Amino acid sequence: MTSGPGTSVATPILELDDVRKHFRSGGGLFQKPTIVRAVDGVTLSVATGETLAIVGESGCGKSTVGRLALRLLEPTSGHVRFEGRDLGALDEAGLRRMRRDMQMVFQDPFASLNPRMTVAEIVGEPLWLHGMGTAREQRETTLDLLATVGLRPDHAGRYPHEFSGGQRQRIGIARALACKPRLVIGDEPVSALDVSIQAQVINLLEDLKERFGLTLIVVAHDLAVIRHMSDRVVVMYLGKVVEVAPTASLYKEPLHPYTRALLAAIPVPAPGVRGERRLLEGDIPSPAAPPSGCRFHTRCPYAQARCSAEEPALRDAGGRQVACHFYEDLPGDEAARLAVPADTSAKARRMALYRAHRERQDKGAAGATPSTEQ
Amino acid sequence: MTLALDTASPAAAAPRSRFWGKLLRNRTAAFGGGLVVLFALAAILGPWVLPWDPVQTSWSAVRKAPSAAHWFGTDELGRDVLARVLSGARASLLAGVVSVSIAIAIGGPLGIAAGYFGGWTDSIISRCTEALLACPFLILAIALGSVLGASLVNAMIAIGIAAAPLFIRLTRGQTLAVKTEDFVEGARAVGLPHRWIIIRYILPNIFAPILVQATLIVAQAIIAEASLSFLGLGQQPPAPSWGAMLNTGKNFVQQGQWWMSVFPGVAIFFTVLGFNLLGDGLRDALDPRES
Repeated sequence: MTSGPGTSVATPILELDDVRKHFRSGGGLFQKPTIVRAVDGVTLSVATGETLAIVGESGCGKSTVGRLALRLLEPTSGHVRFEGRDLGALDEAGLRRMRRDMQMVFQDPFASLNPRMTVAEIVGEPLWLHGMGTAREQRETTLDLLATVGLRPDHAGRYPHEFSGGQRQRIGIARALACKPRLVIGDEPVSALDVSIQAQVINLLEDLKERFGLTLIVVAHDLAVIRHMSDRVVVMYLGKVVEVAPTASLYKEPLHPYTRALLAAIPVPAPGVRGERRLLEGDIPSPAAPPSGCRFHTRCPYAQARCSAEEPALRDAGGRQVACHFYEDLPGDEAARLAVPADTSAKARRMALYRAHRERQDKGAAGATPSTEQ
Repeated sequence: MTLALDTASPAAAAPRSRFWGKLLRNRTAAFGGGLVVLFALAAILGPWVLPWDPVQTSWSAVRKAPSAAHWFGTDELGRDVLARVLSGARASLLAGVVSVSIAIAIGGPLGIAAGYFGGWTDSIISRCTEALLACPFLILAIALGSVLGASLVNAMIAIGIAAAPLFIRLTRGQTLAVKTEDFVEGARAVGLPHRWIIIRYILPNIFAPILVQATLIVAQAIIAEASLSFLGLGQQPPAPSWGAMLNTGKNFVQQGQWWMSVFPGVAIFFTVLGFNLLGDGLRDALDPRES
């Protein structure tokens, strides 16, 4: 939509430069506080117009990265630049003006809308705040926005509790779009929704991205959702980036053992693959006391002595980056190619039995077609 | 917000009428509210309706038992106890409502500031609050009352200050809880300044528990005012107050002249009961999880 001065395809819209966020917790008069390294040196660059996904397990710092990018949290160290301007250098008023250009869609649609405001107030508030147009224009824009996300004008006077999760998430999206931002960060925008609604909201986000020329950053823990909407994927583990790759090549050939484990965790809707899945064992270590060296070495099936001693840097790996000492030497990855398992004789036998059963069941029901394979 | 006014008004009425429906359907709450209304009416209308002047003494009618002429009897100076109970309702209700208003006016902003801004603001306010809470509410009110001097207004101020820490703690806790909600972070993400976040996001969402707490504290404040008056620190004679009436009445209980203390005691009991039941009902009616 509005392309600001200095925006071009070449300049990244958002850059994170060695950003760290350490939370202090506990600690009293005679106690040392625990330092939780939620984000520990993340460097990222987001190109204008792309959809970037940040994935990882709960507690890996991915949501914190999203909040740091909007300066909803103050970084402990490092810089965040939006269209080349350092957010840390802005004063309160400058930051507030900047917030028009970058918006957030939250995870929990039940918590992210003020229960005491009507939908029109929620969606129209950014317009009112930034003084965009007269009251009448603001009202019209609000109704337009509601229509854009698929809500009716008569929804405007209702309160959030009168809506379903999917509808509320649409309200949240309409609010995020109200002041015509150029960058929208979705913090697990669909993970709280029913699966059937997830697809709707994902499609809506994709449509809006096209329509308004947005740059999207989607934080998620679910690689299956990401696959359909992102151009590039950043994989995080315990506050660090372990792999950055274009979506297609990441899914085709995950380089980092952790990425492999994440892909292996996607359930494959085909019989007979159960035994071949290799899932990660153990919990994610505490970010208050991260393991030495490579943070993944405690759970990595390929860990060697060097992994616990030396921290791997994010290395270039042909159009992508990976932080692993041994990614070149790892055995071929079986997990990623599980999506379509080979037909086995056992499967063919079971399918034949199933079809025979269905035919018996359907006998008499005119025109009933036997189920298709897969 | 001007933007939504035209559509919002009919829809805004819906949750409100649901609230009233819920409150009135709750029989105990309706009973409590009825008691409060009854005493408020008595406080306002009583002096006009009754033929007796609450401060008019009569040497011919000293310590008379309840009779057709004096339904609640007369006290040691021959004043009509019914008239004194009714006009004492004014002092009690005023003391309850005004002192709680003072407490909210002090405690609300401090609690919100402590909860919202955190850090040093919170530390200072919270430590002071804890220091005040270390003293029992009534002891604190009595101490403040005796420092300020004996009068009804001073008693109300003393009770208000003594009750303020209760509201600081409540609003701080509620603010902390609301502050972590996503929608407050969302308000920051949109770029709302702190004052708007407090007015539009924090206040409406902490209002219900504060209102409930207020009705419950009104009951305590009424008892506190009665206690202060009982000790001679509140309402000054000859103006009537339930506490002061209890104080003098207690001297005659052993002589079987029970009416001087029982009637103001019953009045305190029912007013406090009314506010407590109303508070419980409000809590239930304002809780969206209860249907």
